Amino acid sequence: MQRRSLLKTLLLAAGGLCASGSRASAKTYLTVEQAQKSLCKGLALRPMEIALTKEQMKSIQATSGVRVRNDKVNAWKAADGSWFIVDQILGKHEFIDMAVALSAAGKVKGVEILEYRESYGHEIINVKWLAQFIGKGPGKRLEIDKDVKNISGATLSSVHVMEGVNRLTETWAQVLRNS
Amino acid sequence: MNTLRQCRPLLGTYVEIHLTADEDDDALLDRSMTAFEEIQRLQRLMSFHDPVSELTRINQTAHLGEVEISHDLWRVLAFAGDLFEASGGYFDPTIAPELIRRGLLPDHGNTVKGYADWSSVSLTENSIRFSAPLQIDLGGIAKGYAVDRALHVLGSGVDATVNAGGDLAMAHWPGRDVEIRTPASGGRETVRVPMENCALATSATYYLAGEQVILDPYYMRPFPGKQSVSIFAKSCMIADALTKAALLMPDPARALREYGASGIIISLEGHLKRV
Repeated sequence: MQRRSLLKTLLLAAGGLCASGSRASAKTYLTVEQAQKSLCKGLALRPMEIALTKEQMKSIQATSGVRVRNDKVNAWKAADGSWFIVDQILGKHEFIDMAVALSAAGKVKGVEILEYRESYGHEIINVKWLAQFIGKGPGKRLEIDKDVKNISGATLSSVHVMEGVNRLTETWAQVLRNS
Repeated sequence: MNTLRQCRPLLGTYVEIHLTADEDDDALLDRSMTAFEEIQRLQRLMSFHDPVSELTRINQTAHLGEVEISHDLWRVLAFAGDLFEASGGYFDPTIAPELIRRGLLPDHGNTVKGYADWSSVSLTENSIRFSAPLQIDLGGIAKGYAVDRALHVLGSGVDATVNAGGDLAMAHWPGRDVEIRTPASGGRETVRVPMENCALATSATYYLAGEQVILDPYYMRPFPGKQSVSIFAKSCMIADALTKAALLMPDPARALREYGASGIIISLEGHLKRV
């Protein structure tokens, strides 16, 4: 029960974010299906259930230098041996869903940002919480800010995306290539 | 009407393409893919970080003799030279050696000692030559050019916006609003202003990560100001480059007029001033 009331509080906090609008922004780009078309045009993709062991997580973390937070790899494999992976990364002020395509040789074919949520300070706690509910099913997506905004002055570094990509290429080298 | 919003990490930032047209998803996706490919092509030509880019080849050899250049690089360099003159040297892409010395740009093993400025560059439509060893960094201008080119290849018959980390251009800009981040909030908050031209770019020190700086070529020191400068212009290349000149120049009004540009300065206190 206690957990439920905490959840309610957090959702109310999310409503607060909605009202303030310009304090945090979320942007939704391609759907997973569109990203598959964009990065793996013409390839038939087969979903793969990949779970990393504790040892694999540690090893990928050691070689990529990037923390491995999730033991599930949300991956699809094409007949030509290439891969399509949907992943989540947590930057300093942003939370990003991205799709990465890797060739049969484990080379990056392309990266698409699927969703970008920017937050600052304590708000990140709420956003992290919200992320657990995002993508849980059709119509369940919570949007902090639906506005289509064109913002000037936001030269945010894409360094965290690059770190995420490094982690995934290591995941390919140690796990996916043998799957 | 159908809409597509796509975002890829390119040019060291996030590049967003927003399309609205009477076309299906696949057709819109085809258009935006062409635009992203164009940006990638230009990144390969103009990246200082890439050890095999056209720019790196020029930086390594143009002091030894004439080097052939692509049409794209010529267009960017020709405008850079023009603005070097118009800004009285406040816009100068030859500050790369100082940025290397500060560890902000990579050293491809051809460190240049001493400082030559843009006046040592001879440029024709097909070739470039340096009369002294120097190195060019297009960090303050190439992103704007890439945005212009992306908008161009997206084609007509589509309402398109390309936004590369705040350097943006719109096909149908009249009557549109845009948000500018405010320096006081560290970019957390924005103010809404009307678009005044096809392109808009913003420069400020608030968003710079780590050791990054906007280098004042006049004094070879980081710009200490806390304000942001946003410039509206007919192309994003002009807007992008003019933000740096306008931030550093004591009186940028004439230079802005020369390029038909207008601007807004936002102080740390949040006051908006037209320039």
